[in-house]
Parts: sequence; C-alpha cells; structure tokens
Amino acid sequence: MLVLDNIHSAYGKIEALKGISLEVNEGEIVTLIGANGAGKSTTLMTICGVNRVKQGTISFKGERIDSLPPHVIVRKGISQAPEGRRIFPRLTVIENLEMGAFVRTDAEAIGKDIEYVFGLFPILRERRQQLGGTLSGGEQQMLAIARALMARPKLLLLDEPSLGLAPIVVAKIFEAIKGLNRQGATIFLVEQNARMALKLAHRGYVLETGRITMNDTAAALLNSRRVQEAYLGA
Amino acid sequence: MYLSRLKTSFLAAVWILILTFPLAGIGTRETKVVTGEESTIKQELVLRSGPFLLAGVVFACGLLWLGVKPLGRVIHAVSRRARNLSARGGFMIWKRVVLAGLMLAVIVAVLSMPFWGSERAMRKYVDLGVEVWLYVLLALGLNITIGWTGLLVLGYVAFFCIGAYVYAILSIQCGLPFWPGLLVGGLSASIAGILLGIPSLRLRGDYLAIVTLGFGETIRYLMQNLKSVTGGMQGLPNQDISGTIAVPAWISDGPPRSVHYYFLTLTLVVIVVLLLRRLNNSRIGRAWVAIREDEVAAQAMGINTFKLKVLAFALSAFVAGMAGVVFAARIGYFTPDAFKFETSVLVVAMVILGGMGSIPGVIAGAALLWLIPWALRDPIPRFLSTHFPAMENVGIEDYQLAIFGGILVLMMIFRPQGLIPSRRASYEMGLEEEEESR
Repeated sequence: MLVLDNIHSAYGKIEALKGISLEVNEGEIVTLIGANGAGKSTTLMTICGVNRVKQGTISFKGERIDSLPPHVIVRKGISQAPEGRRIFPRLTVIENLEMGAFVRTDAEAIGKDIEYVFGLFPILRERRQQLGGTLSGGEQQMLAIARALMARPKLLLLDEPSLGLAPIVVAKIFEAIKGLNRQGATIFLVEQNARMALKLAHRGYVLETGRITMNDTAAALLNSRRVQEAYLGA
Repeated sequence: MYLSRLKTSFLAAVWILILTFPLAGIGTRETKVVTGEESTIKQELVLRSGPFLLAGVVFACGLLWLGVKPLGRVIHAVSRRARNLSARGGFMIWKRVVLAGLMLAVIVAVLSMPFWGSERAMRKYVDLGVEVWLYVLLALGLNITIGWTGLLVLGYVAFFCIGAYVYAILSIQCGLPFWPGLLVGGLSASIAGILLGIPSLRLRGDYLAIVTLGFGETIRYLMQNLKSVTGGMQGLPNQDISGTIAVPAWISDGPPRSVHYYFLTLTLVVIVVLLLRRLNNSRIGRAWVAIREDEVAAQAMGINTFKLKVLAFALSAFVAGMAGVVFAARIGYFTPDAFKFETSVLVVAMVILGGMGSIPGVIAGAALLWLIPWALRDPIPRFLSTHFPAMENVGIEDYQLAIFGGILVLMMIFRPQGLIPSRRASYEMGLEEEEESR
C-alpha cells in the first residue's frame, strides 16, 4: 500500500534520513522503532509531505506521492496523529473532530463518523463541548487519533501515541489501535516504547540515525538479542 | 507593609518624573520686551509643573491603589455572589433585557447621531464619526489576519494607501466615479496583498511582521517618489477627486455631504460585519482558526494553509482598500504622510485592545482608541480650562501621548484578553475557569 524507496530527507543541512526503504501492506500494523533523534518523526513528516524528499520515491497505492503538498496527500487517504498530539487547544472536541474531516463534504456521514469515534473513545463524548486544551494528556491523544480517523484515511499514521502518558492510559490507547486494525484499518505506528509497539504490530522496522538497520516480523524482533539489548532493556 | 507601599509608590513617582521631565519639564516662555520704539521677543526657559503634578498623581494613585486592594477583594466576592445568583436563573432574564436595551440605545444613537444639535456642532461630530467608522473598517479588516489567521501584519496601512491612491489617480485621470472606484480600490489593494503574500507568507511570526512592516514603508516611499503620478509630497490636486458620492436625488438634496459619508461608512461597516460573521462560521473561517492554532496540524488536516493565508491577506487588504477609497473621496487632498507606520500600529493596537478575533471587541477597540486621543486633545482640556482655571497651564494636550500610553499599559495589565474577548482568547489567557463558574 505504502512503499518508501531509498528516501533521503534533511532538516536544513542535517541529513535526517539517509536512504530508508520500507513497506506497509493493507490491513497491517507496521511499527517503526528507534531511539530519540533516529529520524522516526521525520519519516512520518516526509510521508505526509510536510518535509520535502531530497532523493528517493514514496508511492501510495501505486501512485507517486513524494512531490505532493500535504493537503493533497491527506485527500489521497493518509492522515496522521502527529507527535505531541497537536490538537487545536482553543477549539472544542467536536470542532477538533470537524477539522479532522476538513477534506470531506458529506455532512451526514461526518456526523455518523463522530458518533463512531465517540464509540471508540467514550470519554470524548463526555468532553465534547470542552476546549481541546483543557483535556488531559491521554484524552488529547485519543482526540488526536479520533481527529485523524475523521478524514476516513486508508492509512493511519500514528506518531508516538504513548508519549508522556501513564502506562494504564497507554494500554487503553493501544487497545483502541488494535480494535481499529481488527476493523480493517492499516496503521503505521512510530514508537519509542518498543515493547508495546512490537507486541501490537505485525511487522517492525528498526531505525538508527537515519538508516533502517533491522526489518522483520514483530515477534522475531521482540526475540532478537539486538533489539532486546538496545530497546527493551533486557 | 505600609512602608513597602510607600516605597513602591514613591519609586513609581520618581520614575515618572525622570521619564517625563526631559520632555515636558522645561518649557520656554516668550515675553515681549518693549524698549522705546522697538519691541523684541525675549525667550526664557521656565520650569513647568506638569511632570511634578503627574508624579504626584502617580504617587497618590499608587498609595490609593495599594491600599484599595482589600476593597477589590470585597467587590470580587460581591460580584461572584451576584454571578451565582444569576446562574440560578433569577437575573438571567434581566441581564438579557438590559443588554437588549443597551444594544437598542446604541443603534438608535448611532443612526440618529448626525441629526443632533446645531449644524455646526453636528458637522464636527459627524466628521469624527466618519473617522471612527473608517478605523472600525480598518480594524475589522486587520482582524482577519491578526485575530483569525494569526498572521502579524505590521504594514497594514499600505493597503489603505493603495486604495486611496488608486482611486484618486483614476478619478483624476479617467474620471472614475465613486461606486466602481470603491470596488477598483479594494481590488487593487487585494492584488497588492496577494503579491505581497505569495513570497512572504512562507515566513512565520516575527519574520512576516518585519516583511509587512517593510512593505508598508516601501509603499509610502513609492508614493512619495513617483512624483509624476502621485504628485509626491505635494499631494494630488484636490479639485478633481470626485468628492461626491453618486446617490439618488432625495439623498443628495437632503443633509450635507459629511452626513453622506457618515452613512456610507456605517453601511460599509455593517456589510463587512455581516460578511465576516458568515465567514467566521464557514469552512474558511474554521481553517483560518486551525492555522492560527497550529499550522502543521492544520496542514495535516488537509488544509491548504498557503492558499488560505493568501486569501486572508487578500480579503483583509480589500477591506483596507475600500476604506482608502472612502478616505480619498472624503478628504479630497492628501499626501503620503497620511499613511505613516503609526497608523498601522494604531490599527494593530485597536485589534489587540478590543479583543483579537472578536468582532464586537474590535469595533469597540477601534472606536475607543480613536476617541480617547481625540478627547484628550479637545473636549477634556476645554472642560478643564473652563471649570478649573488653575489647570489651564498644565496643558493636558501635552500629555496626550503619555496618558494614551498609560491607558494602553493599564489595559494590557488588567484586561489582556481585550475589551470584549472572543471565547477562544479567554481560554488562552487562562481565564477559562472564570468563564466556567459563570
């Protein structure tokens, strides 16, 4: 579904991605794990078009998307819950969700989808008239995911949904991600919390300073010595 | 504790004295010395009492203010009690009635204002009213970029300038009538906005502010130096700008010209307000708010942020351009000096003081910031000199800017969210809990 081929990308003069290749197939949860500064978020931002590709190609459903602007890529069916959530603090929960559906014009279906994400995260229903900025961290993360879902993406990108959240909240969110996948969603998950991510995903990639160093099924990665030593603290 | 109050007030007073003395403390007095046939004018330096008076006022206010704090707490408690009562519904209806009554009174006052009193007095106030509405227009336009989209534009006066010049030149050279001129002026400002926006809207925050500031000055200098077209510092000749608005005879035969402009500007304000209200609730308005809140997240939502920012620029420039056309037609003669950087800053202050993003707030802010300096310049000194002859030599006029600045500072301390804040601004300023308990 999504294929990255030898992608180079840079922040100014600093090359953050030095030729990474990866693939996400329909119906999969694929995770990209790595330490701080390995280039995980850059990878996501490059897929969405916020960061420019210097070299290499990205294709989505057989179509090149690496030179498209971000707002077009969203319309192609890729939406993301960005790192640090980045919900709109001064819009209410409902307004945030409506913003997520910005590319759509089918008002009726949008209403139904709001009900759907409320079913997924019932706490958001209770908070629907509250301003985004007044939600707790976990609620904001749920809102960020729900907002990304509102675009009815074919591929959902999640950037560190566990960031700064209590373990119990993380478990809840990961449970919801699992549920989404069971209903058929394709998910590309970038995580620092390697254990949780690998337990959830089907396949995984390990990113180290801008290069993919390992690539295997999630179970195999979980059992690999190198991953255990470097990321699981074993 | 009392000692520290004394100290604080004293220091504030000394500070004011140091600040104002070099500027206002020393004046000159001219005396006519007659020696035989010749009379010469002798100038001598005199000490003026103003700064000392001001320092004294600050000292007294400091003491009072610091001593009054407990009283403030009582007022706060009472108002909270009242609020709780109103939350139970008792006062809710009354509040609405009072608000509706006030609104009605304001509407009636605004509509009937040109017909009060004698014709001479009226003309003066009608002219003042036209100025207020012009600034309200400017502030409403700037609110699109600063208040809604979060783009700090510091050279807004440039669009006003372009509207004025385009209309004036076309009216003189080609005899362009007023109504199409209004559109042409707005559109040309709008095009300038787009041309400025395309390269500069890739910048963010402070950088955009600097570029727009430069643009504002560039346009003014351009008008100053394009002598063959604009007349440079001499200004355009006034006789050919068609100062009359083409209106049906029953209007033009009636009240004098300034009244026409009063209702013209008022109508423009009403139209712009209605339009902006619709826009605010539309997809575009939402997208603007999203851009202001978090540009990257807005992009991730599929918003074409660049296009929408350019649109905000174009629209806000259009409003300023129209205001410029009205300005040119009304005043008949102007030079590039009418479009100084200070005007841009004043309009920014109107938007911020009134309450960023809030339409009633911006209107109130514009009206107040135009009326306060006017009051300090004219009615207040006149009132003081007739009723308190002792105050005559103080010259409140000299302190116009100081008092104006003081009011701004006080506003920012006590009501940073603006006079009539938008719901969202009150959250940002951390006043959310207060709103909720209401």
